[in-house]
Amino acid sequence: MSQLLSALVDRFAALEDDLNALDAAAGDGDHGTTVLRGLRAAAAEPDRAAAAFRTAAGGASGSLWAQVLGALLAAEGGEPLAPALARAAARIGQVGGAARGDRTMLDALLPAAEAGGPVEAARAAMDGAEATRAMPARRGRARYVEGAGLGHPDAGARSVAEALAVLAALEPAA
Amino acid sequence: MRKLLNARETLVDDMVWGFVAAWPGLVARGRHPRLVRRAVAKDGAKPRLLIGNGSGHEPIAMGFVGEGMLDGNVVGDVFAAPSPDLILEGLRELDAPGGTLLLISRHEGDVINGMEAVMMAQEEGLSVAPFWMYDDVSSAAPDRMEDRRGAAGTLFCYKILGAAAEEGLPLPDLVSLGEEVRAASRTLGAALGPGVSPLTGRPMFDLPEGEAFVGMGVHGEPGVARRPLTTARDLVGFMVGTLLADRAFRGREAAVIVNGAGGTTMMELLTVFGEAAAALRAHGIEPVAPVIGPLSTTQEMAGVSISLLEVTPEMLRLWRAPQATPLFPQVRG
Repeated sequence: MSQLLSALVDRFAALEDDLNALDAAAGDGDHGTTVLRGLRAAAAEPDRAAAAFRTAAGGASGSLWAQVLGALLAAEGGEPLAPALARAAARIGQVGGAARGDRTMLDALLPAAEAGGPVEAARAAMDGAEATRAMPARRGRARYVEGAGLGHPDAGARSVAEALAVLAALEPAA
Repeated sequence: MRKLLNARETLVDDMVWGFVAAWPGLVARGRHPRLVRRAVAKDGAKPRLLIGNGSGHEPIAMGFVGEGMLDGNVVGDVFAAPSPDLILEGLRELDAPGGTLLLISRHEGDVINGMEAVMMAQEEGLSVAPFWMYDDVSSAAPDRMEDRRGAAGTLFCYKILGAAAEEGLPLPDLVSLGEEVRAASRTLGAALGPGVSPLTGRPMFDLPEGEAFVGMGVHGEPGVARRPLTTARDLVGFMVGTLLADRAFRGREAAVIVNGAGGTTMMELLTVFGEAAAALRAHGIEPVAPVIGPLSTTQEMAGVSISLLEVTPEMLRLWRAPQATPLFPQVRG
């Protein structure tokens, strides 16, 4: 079984409450629970991890996050990370209609896709997630709430950055 | 909770079961139990119409499957968009040479999961096109029309595109017709009280008594104006004025939908229609072919929406065309 999947399950079990709290500032408050549920399903069916994630996580964020998971697993399998992240970001933008600066997971994913290797990507994603603190939501249900979440990082951007950090930590030291 | 259900885990399947048991000559379950389709499929050369949506809003959309309207409906969990994989199942099952139009009412989850399903279907070689529906004037300014939510005015698209597809209008032309209908449709709603979630047994949001929340979304998304609740005439006059300010009607006729949110009585809906008709006539617009009733609901939510379609003769013909669905009213007048 994929080392990455089991490391992601461990890390997101620890992050569940924090991510839920970030999400509660602007949405349903279940982002941490949703991602963890998806990751556990993916770990149980590693041969079809992204589809298992999507079905178990459900909702819009399940579909989008499954694209990120697919890219991370491709990288674990030896594909170059940056183009895999760029493909995931393109599909997420196409499906969700969001762009950089809309306070979504793309604000972590796009800088990561431009950064090169896993360590640089994880750092760029975390910086990107932090920058969402100052962004008003233009997508998602939060956009109907004036100033929703301002002052906190977007939960989806944060979870993507955390996942990249897990991948970076797996890389054997050069 | 004052609701007649069996168990939280089975409530959607129990409902679908009752629906297909009631009208076996009109509708049937698909291979996947959450797909409702016509009992007799239409000629495969004609385009098919599919929509996926969260449940809890019945009769939309399941009730509108049938000859002259939808070919299928993918039924999601309560207030949750169905997954891309489930929508893909529906697209596979309906697949025919005429192609399939996936109708998407513009809500975040429906758009994302619908678009993902369309891409997966296209990767499999299916002939599928998405069509986004949005009409709620309160959810975004006119210069961001494509950010608006789908509301009860999407029924103009369901019905008119359904009738056109039944006549065999090819898929690309169906999309063009849909764009015309969407551009000419406007909806504004007002919430008076929340529905109760069948999952939690609790009201979905809180509203003070004695006020109408104009433009509030069906899940409690904030509205555009609070207005003291006085008379139907006062509220409807304000709503019609707002609708006509959003789109300058050049035509003389508008098709009208007065939709009840689930907990508003037919007595109230008919009163609302009467006031809307008077307000429209005061602006020189004649209301025609109205549809009045609880069509797109959120449990027992109290509220109403008014939808207007500036009709062309062709749109009006298709809006009035006969259909055989379990729960869409026959359009008259």
